[in-house]
Amino acid sequence: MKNSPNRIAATVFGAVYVLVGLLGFAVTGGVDFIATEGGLLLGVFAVNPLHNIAHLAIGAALLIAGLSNVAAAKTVNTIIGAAYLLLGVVGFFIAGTPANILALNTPDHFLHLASAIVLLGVGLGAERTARVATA
Amino acid sequence: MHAPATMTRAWPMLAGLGGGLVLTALAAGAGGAPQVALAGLGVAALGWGVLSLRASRPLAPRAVLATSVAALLTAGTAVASGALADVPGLPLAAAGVFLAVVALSVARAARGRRADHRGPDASARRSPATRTATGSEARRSLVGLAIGAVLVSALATPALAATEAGRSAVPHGEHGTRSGDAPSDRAHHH
Repeated sequence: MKNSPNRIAATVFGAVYVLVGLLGFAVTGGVDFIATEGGLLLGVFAVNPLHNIAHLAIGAALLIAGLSNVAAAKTVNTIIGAAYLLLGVVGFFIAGTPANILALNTPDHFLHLASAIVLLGVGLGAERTARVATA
Repeated sequence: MHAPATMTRAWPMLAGLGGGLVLTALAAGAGGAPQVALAGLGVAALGWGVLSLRASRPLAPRAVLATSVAALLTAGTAVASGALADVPGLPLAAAGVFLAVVALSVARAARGRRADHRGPDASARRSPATRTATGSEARRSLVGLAIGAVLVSALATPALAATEAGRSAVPHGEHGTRSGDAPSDRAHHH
């Protein structure tokens, strides 16, 4: 795994997102699922139960792919990175909704954008001949 | 390839993604012809970033250089004439920085391509994507990608928040709040 940028990125980001999802429930324990009020994870990341589920699902997909093989990691990295950016762009045009996931100057939006760029970049640019890479 | 070059290889493409995001966010708050122009340029920048990442080199350097310079000159003229007085300054400046980074990188790529035609070995020297990456090079490129993504996000995030889309965005902790809450009021929470 140590020679595969896609597997490293998927595993690291997957672990972080799973951790954020799990820790998120600790700060949103008394909050309704649809989350009219959220909580602050580590004092900076705004979360609510719906986001915790999303973080867990994304983290699990990345983690499983990262621990599997290069082709799976590359595919999942590309899909999640592209989906984040696509949803972000669409969200600009329906800005008053939760779909606008990139246009606030907050740590969680910064994390969304940075992770989307890394995942898309490594998914598209690294290991273009994934089958010969060391898994 | 030298370590710094390996680490920064994808940065122009990341700048293209950052510029595309800011331009599309500006388009969302504009209207009429400016909206069409900004959205077109933004989508083009995003597409160029994605395709160039996939190719591991800046694609169509001459066309991208001409477009970037034209966009920068047009924006500069519009700012000087006061035509963009209603447009927030930060996203405009951020888009300018991203476009300038793209323009500089494709200018270098265009020069490199000219040099390639002069020497028989040059094309082999300048096709890193076709080489099998070593473990250390792969890790360096991943670290470079992460640093580039942080830099792009550090500039793009506040710029996006300063656009009309950012001003009407719903903070995470407030999803599902009463529809009567004015977006402009919420915008001051961050």
